[in-house]
Amino acid sequence: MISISDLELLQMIQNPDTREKGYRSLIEMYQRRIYGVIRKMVVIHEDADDITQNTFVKAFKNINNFHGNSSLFTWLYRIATNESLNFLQKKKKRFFFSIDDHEAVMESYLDHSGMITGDEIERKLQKALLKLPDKQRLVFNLRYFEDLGYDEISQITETSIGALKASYHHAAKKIENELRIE
Amino acid sequence: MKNLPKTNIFNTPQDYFENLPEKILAKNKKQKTRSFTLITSMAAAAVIILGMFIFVLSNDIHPNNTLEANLDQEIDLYINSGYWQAEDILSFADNPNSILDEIITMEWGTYENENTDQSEEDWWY
Repeated sequence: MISISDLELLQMIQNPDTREKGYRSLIEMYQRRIYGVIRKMVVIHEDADDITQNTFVKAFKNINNFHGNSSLFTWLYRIATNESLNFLQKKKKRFFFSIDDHEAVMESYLDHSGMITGDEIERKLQKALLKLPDKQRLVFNLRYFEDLGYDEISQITETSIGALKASYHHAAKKIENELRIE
Repeated sequence: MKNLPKTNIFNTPQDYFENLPEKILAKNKKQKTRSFTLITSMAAAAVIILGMFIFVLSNDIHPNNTLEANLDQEIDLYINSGYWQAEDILSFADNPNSILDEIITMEWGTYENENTDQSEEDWWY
């Protein structure tokens, strides 16, 4: 399951003399993909930046619990997606008594932030995605944008492949309907 | 779905990924230091609480007993130094007359018994 580079990285991290270098290599190897999947979930750069940092710090803290049952990348993805979902859950609770809601904040960010490029259709797609439940949106992002297989998504989300296929199918239908209406 | 774009529309600030490893490593170090400080503080607090617990157990303190003992010592001191006379001590009591009666009865009673014994002795001789 573990690629050679994963093994080398783990060996570097386990050795106190090369640990720092191992950490740095791990970040450099996976930071773009980890940030990418987090950013698609939380939309706002500052939030994605925080969660990406926390993801790696948590990974370093728990690296001894990684037993190689999956690839290092899948393990990192699992931490990143859990952190993102927890973040969104907390935001929802915090906005429960507030006038704004976090979905509206993210939607507004898609329209007005300088950190967003893309044409109108691309932004419409992202807005339609925001209307999905968080876990369904995560499955859609991992399958559609990250091109991951159901096996890998199953390991990341700890969900059965059947449930994932159903979730993706529902998400795709909802998005098509949403875009057709608009 | 086939016509939907897959392009990444999310931008990052310039040099973001060049600086990110440094930020993460610094945060990791900071959290390690913080958790070490927290563990040290908790250990110190545990030692203090345990120490206090052992002290209380080994020195079984009864505040009332200690107060009484101190009072008795103080009274003895006043009497022995002659600062308090018998009248003074009697005046502290709620019913000095009954105490006096008690003392007289005790003393006279003893005297009468002693006298009776003596007369019996005389009769024998």
